[in-house]
Amino acid sequence: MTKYILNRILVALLTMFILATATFFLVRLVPGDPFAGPSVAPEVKERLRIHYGLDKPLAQQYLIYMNNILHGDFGYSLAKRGHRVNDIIRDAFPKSMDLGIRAMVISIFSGIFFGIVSALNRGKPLDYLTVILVLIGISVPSFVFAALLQYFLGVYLKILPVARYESFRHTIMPSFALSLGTLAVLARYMRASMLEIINADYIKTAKSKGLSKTQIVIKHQIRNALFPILTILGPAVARVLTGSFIIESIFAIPGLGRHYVMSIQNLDYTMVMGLTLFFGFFLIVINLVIDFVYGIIDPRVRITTRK
Amino acid sequence: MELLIHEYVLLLGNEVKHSMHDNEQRLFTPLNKRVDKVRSTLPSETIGFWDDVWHRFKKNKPALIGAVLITFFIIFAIIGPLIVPYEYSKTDLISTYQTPSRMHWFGTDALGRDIWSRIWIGARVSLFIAFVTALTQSIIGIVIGSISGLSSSKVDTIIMRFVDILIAIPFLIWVTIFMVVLGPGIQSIIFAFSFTGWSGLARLVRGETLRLKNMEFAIAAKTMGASHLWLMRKHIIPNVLPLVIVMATFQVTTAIFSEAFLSFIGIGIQPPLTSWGIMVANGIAEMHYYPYMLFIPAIFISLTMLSLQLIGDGLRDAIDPKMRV
Repeated sequence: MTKYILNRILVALLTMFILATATFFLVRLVPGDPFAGPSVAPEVKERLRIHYGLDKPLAQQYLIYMNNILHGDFGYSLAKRGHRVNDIIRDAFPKSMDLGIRAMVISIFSGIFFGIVSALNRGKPLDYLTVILVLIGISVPSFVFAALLQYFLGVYLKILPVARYESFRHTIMPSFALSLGTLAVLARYMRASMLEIINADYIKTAKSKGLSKTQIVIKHQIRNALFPILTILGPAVARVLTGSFIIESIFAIPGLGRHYVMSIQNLDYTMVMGLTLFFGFFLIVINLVIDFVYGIIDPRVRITTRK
Repeated sequence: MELLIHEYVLLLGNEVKHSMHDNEQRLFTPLNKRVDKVRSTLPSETIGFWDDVWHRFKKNKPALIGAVLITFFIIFAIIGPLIVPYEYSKTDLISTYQTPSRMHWFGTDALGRDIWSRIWIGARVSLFIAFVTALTQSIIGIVIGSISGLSSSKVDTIIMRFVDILIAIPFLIWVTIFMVVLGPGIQSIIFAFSFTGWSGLARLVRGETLRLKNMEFAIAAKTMGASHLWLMRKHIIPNVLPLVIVMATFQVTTAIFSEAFLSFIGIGIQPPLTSWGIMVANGIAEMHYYPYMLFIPAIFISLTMLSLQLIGDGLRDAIDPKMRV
């Protein structure tokens, strides 16, 4: 187990290092001048370059950058003068986290629920309904779904606020819009996972023991079907995170996703780099945690590392 | 074929042996006719792998409907822009925000451009990017995956660690960084997608290669001195192709979504060219008063994604029923 954990941590650290290096050199390749603008005098520009350390040789810049990242410092935003990227992240993260957790809770619970209902009613109308719902959830792009929700519930029926993120009523639409895709994927996996073990030996044993159907479903089928779901929680978190770029932009929620999109549009390089690394590190840590949990639950993974 | 030659030799042997006996009839039958006779005892027609797949795919009605829809979209994306009544980029400031009518089937946008014409240019851009990148990603995936699978464990480990790292960060984030570097445009999108989207395919091909290279036919080829390139060409690629095709269908869906996303946030396709993502973004801006501007591109993009998803599911079930999710 220790070997397994150490191995995962090592890989995670290596991934972080390569991501940081890749973003640094990629962003340095970008043509154009971040300080360009008609109102910026050449002297000011020169001072800004020195201030941001852009006058030093590339290798030295890289070392400074890596050193700063090791200390958790992402530097100053280029577009929002005087604002540190760290401060922006600290202000925006709670909003994104709040939205993300709501979306995850909705998608995990309803996804698993729909998956179970669908599997237990295999071939019946309820199953087809779920399958259609899943297909729509997978196919309709998040921004299309969000925009349609916004139009019908916000503009047309006027039952929910169109945008912003202030009260509980504000959170409903964005959370649902963000959860749809993940919900669909989870429901699909849960259905498949349930159907896969329907003929397993231990289910047959339970049946021959004379357990009631509800007991078999709850104690054996659902329990065992849940394990494979753990493996797709990592991708599910990633999906919610990238989905937040769009949802936060559409619903004008001042979270990290909206900042990310805005910094791309403004060519705010330090912000883009800072947020990319933040998202990357966040996902790597989440995946690490999921790996540990999985390693504890299912001893087989410790020996044969995941394919 | 081998069987045929075998029989042929036997026939010749018989010829010599029986020529002096009562087998005159046999003797005077032309040899080629006898070979035909042998051939006729073999099954007249073997059912090929792809016939089998098509047979199963055909039975899957949703997948078939998806395939028909996509074919229709592709044909229209190719010829649509040539036959529509308006130039997609032609602005007409007198007839802005026209609701759908006989003149403008899907209405006009803020600059009076005909949305019906723009939909098909958008289709051309989206589908072109999606299919080209799915193809390049598949090629890169097959090459890297099979190299990794056939190489020594050291090279394999290095390649797979690299793939792990690529997969740890979501595709959309990689693509966004690349787009920031490369700048907007179709070529940039194709490059960014091709460069970052092959990792899943490579992993799949590598797994299959590891399995295939220890099967009898591959070992036989190796003992006869086949090179890695030969193995790849003759044994690995034909065997992984069905799986790659299934996965590539889903890559097309990802590419359409990602292009729409990039265009939506303004770093993908640039005006006056358009894409469905831009049209949805414009629709969101105008939905309070002109909701049709949102609905039309929304319907097209959703239908396309749905069709591709159905085709992908159908192909997967048809090619390998065990893969069914």
